[in-house]
Amino acid sequence: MISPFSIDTQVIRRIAYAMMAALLAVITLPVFQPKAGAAEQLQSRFIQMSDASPSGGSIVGSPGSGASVTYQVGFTVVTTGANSIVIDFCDGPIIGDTCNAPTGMVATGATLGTTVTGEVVIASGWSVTAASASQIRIADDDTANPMTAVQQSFNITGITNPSTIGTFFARILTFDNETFGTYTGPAGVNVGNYLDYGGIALSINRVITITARVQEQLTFCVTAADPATWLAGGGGTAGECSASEVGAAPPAVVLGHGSPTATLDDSVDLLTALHQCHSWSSS
Amino acid sequence: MIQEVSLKRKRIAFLSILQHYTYEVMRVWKQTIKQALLLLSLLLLIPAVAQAVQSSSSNYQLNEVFFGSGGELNACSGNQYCAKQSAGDLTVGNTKGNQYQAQAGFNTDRSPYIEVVVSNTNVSLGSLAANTTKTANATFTVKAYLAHGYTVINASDPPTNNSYTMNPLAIPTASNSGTEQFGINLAANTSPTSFGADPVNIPDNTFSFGAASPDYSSANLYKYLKNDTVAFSNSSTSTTNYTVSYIFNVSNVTPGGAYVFHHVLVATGTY
Repeated sequence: MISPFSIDTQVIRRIAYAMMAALLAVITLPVFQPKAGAAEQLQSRFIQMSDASPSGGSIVGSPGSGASVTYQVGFTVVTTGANSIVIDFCDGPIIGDTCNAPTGMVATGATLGTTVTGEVVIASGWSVTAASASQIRIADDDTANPMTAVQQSFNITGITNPSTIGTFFARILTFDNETFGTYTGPAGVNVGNYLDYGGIALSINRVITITARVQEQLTFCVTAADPATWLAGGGGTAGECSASEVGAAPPAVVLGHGSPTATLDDSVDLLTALHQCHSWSSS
Repeated sequence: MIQEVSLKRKRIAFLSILQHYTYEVMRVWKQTIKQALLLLSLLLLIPAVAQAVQSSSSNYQLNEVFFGSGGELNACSGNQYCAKQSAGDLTVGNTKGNQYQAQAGFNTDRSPYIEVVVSNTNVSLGSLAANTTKTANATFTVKAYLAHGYTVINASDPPTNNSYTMNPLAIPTASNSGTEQFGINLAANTSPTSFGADPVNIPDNTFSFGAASPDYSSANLYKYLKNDTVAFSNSSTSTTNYTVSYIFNVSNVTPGGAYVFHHVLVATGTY
């Protein structure tokens, strides 16, 4: 008779085999990943836009229109020696994820502008070699001026911002050679054999518009009060026609003498009348 | 005697049935325990699968590690809804040293992020006069995640009237009606009137670290320079609410016409 408490070693072995197989599968999973190189994350990376306005709005001119925007790109490489850069603008920052281009963005006219720091310099042979709506490729014309471990900071001009308010992302990859390594696209294994990588968040936001008018004015007042006494003691603005002293002393002259006034003789009746003429604002 | 033998036989039969029943029950229980052990061993492998469903690249991922008494990073119901659950956070917020920083809390993410929200985007001041200062307010909020901080700059020129540009205050200056002045600050002012507000970190200063730049943080002093940094944070931060206070003063010789100011604020995160 089989004891109810006996152990079936065959079942235990099966469980152990199953666990080992599953463990082995988990451990070896990274081996089948598309790439597991020694790439490092770009440090101190940023993109500063000259205009964070959405494109396609009613504002004309830059900044405010979201057109002809300059993107100042900055980062420090960890792996030196890169001779080409790919910048993909996407709806997410994670390298290799599916990349949907930001709505309304146009980078086809992008060109390399001035360099703040680093080796990515036009005079050294660096330029935008290809650009699409949401991708910019920058490369040296040879491998004579690779990026070193200093802060790289350069301007890319001629970009049209996304047309929608909100956050969008840039993915930056650097490559050893001047032809972008084996990169063929931003998603999955297409990212190729890059050296360093980094995601950057950017924000498109509304513009605060304030309008005001300055109107031409003409002010004219006549009073018997000396302007030195226009102190606005009873209201108004000191020194101006609105001062209370102005209205309180209307210029008046009584011609004739006597009471009631009945006599006009050869004496002179004087009136001190002062006036202020005030006009301003001319364009 | 016969009765005793019959009773013994009945007892033996009963014990035999009980023994057989016990054996059957134990056999079923053994099967159940085996299945449970197998299921448990498979469940032990699930955490690795759960990490895989977090967003990651084909090559790298910033693994989020879960410690705590509740919550879940990726709680899904069928194929329709997923959520990050949060219950009983042991700690939340940002901690950092000179080179590294970490985000604690259940609602963290591996993606760098910056968000700017601008409100009160259209303000009409009416007519400006030499004896009166016109004021206005607008607000914006900023939060940045997995960043070493952010800056917010004035990206636009001062107010213009065709080719004429209103005189901006190059250094922090008090308002003076009758003198042409344009300036802003991010402070709670009492002069020329009570308006504006100091930056407010949401929910408090232990979670958010935004601040106004020194030249724009003093009450009753105003300044405006293109490309000046007006607000900043030196680390990842939750939301900070900023209130921009504007002053407009004109003189008797300020050119007449319509003045327009498109205030473009550019927030840049460093990651």
